[in-house]
Order: sequence, then structure tokens, then C-alpha cells
Amino acid sequence: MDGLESVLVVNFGQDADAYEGLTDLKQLDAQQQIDLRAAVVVVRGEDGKILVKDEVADNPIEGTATGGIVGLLLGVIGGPFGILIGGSIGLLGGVLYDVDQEEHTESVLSHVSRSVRVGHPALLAEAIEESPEVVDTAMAGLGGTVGRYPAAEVEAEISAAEKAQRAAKKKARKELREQRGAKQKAEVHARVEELKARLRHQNAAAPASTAA
Amino acid sequence: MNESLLTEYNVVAVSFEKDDMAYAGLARLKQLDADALIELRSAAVVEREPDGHVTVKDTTGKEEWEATAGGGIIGLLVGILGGPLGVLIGGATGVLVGSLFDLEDEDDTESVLSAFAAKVRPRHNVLLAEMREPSDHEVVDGVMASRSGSVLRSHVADVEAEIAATEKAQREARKKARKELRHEREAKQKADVEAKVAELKAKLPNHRGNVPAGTTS
Repeated sequence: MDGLESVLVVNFGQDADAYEGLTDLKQLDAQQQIDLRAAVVVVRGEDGKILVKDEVADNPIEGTATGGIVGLLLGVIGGPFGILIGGSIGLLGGVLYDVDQEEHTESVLSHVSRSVRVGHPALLAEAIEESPEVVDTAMAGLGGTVGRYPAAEVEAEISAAEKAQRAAKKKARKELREQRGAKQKAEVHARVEELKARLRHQNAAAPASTAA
Repeated sequence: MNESLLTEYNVVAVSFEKDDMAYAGLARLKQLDADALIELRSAAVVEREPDGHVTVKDTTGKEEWEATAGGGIIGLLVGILGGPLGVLIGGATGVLVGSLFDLEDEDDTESVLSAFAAKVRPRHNVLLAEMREPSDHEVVDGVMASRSGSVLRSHVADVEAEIAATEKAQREARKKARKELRHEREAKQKADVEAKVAELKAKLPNHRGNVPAGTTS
């Protein structure tokens, strides 16, 4: 099929509709309205990790849905780096603080990472489409909103992720060191007490020996 | 010992050649506290899971832990070191399950939290403790050395200062990462991208199989 190869991320109003969405994409593929390369229903756990709930792949010999670009995407957004750039999870699973909704950047991976939310299934797919309308209409029928990214851009960011992670690490370390020297004692104390209080609150709400 | 000799407030992380020694180390710290040779604020034996998270395996005592450490410096440290920022600044992500990238490189930045994060390695016990001790550190160092423990030590004030800065550091790191991604996306040559993507695909754990049959279209 001639058309644009895209990565699609679909969020639904009702969680169960994500599975319906997967079935619909399969059907559109069978009707040759799209060329579906891979599709997965995924959900982010409380710890930030991504769980694949259901999947469909184009080529059983080549591999599975988690072997291609969708698989790479899952590997990136479910790891520490993906959690960092998605921003929806702060320290301690987002309870200690939330660093979301800060600045607007046009990073595709950030968008995708943020679209896969804790506890809500999302549909992720790689497909070649003649026009976006076919999928958009089908998903809209299920109350789904489609995010669409050119596969080439997704690949370009994935190939840059290692470098970006390294840069982020350096930046974080530098920031910590500088802040250590610059901060006033009273300010530090107030901040630490605030964090301790939040941690106590969190422990009281959900007693557990594991953090993050 | 005269309490006035306990002049330093420190946080230590002790790794051992034999992981079981971490529990013995914790017991000895409690003893030193009972003997008034140090004043132990809180302590825990922790382990980094293969996925990066940090689990608490033993503590100074349930009551003390819940009263203080759960909301104390050690509790905060555990949360930070096991979270995305701690994993990031600690380096060695390549050894973590599901991680495509390895970040283990020599970086000479002197972040206290980075050093602690790197100390807590996957599948190994580390003893974390907050205490008041004499400035020569001999009591604690001696006890740990006799169990082949290697001690990383920082002033509480420095640890607190970095903890207070973690939110900002995480935000800055995220900004930097996003900027880098966007920039690289625009700058990268197609051939470079394809080569890199192929390399990463080969690293995927689920490549070729491992997923139940009947899932193909």
C-alpha cells in the first residue's frame, strides 16, 4: 500500500475500548484499508513499567509486535528514560512530586510516553495509511483520540535516545552539585521537611517496603 | 563515649563483598548505638531490583523505621535512588531488565546522590544509615572493614541539599533530554538512523518469539 508510515497512539475514554480498537485496526488491515505492521494494547503500571495486554503482528516469522519499531518504542518509554521524558511520574511513582506540564517541547518520544498513562490502556500501532481519515473515524467511533507521528521521526528519536539519556544524566548531576553549593540551609531544611511529610503521608496511605 | 565527641552528622552507604554481611553490619550499628559510640538515626539494608527499583529488606526496627526513617532521610534516599532520577544519575542502566541503553561511563561530577545511586547496584545488598559519629569515623569504618565492607560517606547537610534539589534536577534533565531528542531528530541522517535502529532492534528481548502464538493478524 502506498501511503505514509506512521506510529499511532490512541487514548480512549473507556478503558475497554482499547481492545475494541485493536480489533478494528485488524479489520481495517484485513479489508486493506490500512497496512497494519504491528499493534499493541499497553498499560503503564504504578511503577512506570509498560505491560503489553494484547497484540497483533504483521509477520509471524519476522517476529512479533514487540520486535519492530513498536517494540523499540515500548522499550524506550517503559524504561527510566521514558519515564523521565514523559514527566508524568516524579519520584516515588509520582506521589512525592509531579513534574508534568512544564514546558512544551516537540519531542515525539515525550508525547508518546506521556500518552501511555498509569492504569489506562492505550493502543499503539505502526501502520501505513493512505489518509488519516480511515483510522481516525474508526477510533472516534470508539471514543478514541489518535496521536499520529511519522515513523521516520519516531525512529530518528529512538536512535538519539541513548545520547539524550547521557546528556540528561550529566545535566542532572551538574544541577544537583550546583544546587548543593548554592542553596541556603533554611531553604534546604524546609524543602526536606516537606518531602518527608509527603513520604510519611504516602507510607500511611499505602504501607509498603518498596519505593518508586 | 562522651556525647560531645559525636560531632558529625553523616549518611553512609556500605557495600559488602558478601551480601549477607549487610545484615551483620546493621546489627553492629545498632550495638554501637546502644553502647553510645554513635547515635543511629535510621538505617536499612536495601537492594536494587533488576528493574531498577530499590527495596528495603531490613531496618533498624519496625517502630523506629515507621516513626522516623519511613519519612526520614534514609526513606527519602530509598525513594530517590529507586526512582527514574536515581536510576539515571546512577549510571549502569544497561544491567537493568528492559533497558536498551547503558550509561556506565566515567563522569567526574561530584554529585553526592549520584555516588549513592551508583553504590546501590542491582542484586546486591547495601547498608544505608544516618548517624551522628565522631569526626575520625574510626568506630564505624573499623566495624565495616572487619566485614569487608566499603564505606561511602557524606555529610547529612550535603545529602539534604541535593535531595532538596532533586525536583529541579529532574526537570532540567527532562528538558535537556527532550531538547536533545528534537535536535537530533532534525539533524540525523537517514542512514545513521537506520543503522542505529537495527542495532537496537537486535537488542530487544522479545525479538523472534517469546510471545504466544495466535496473536498475528
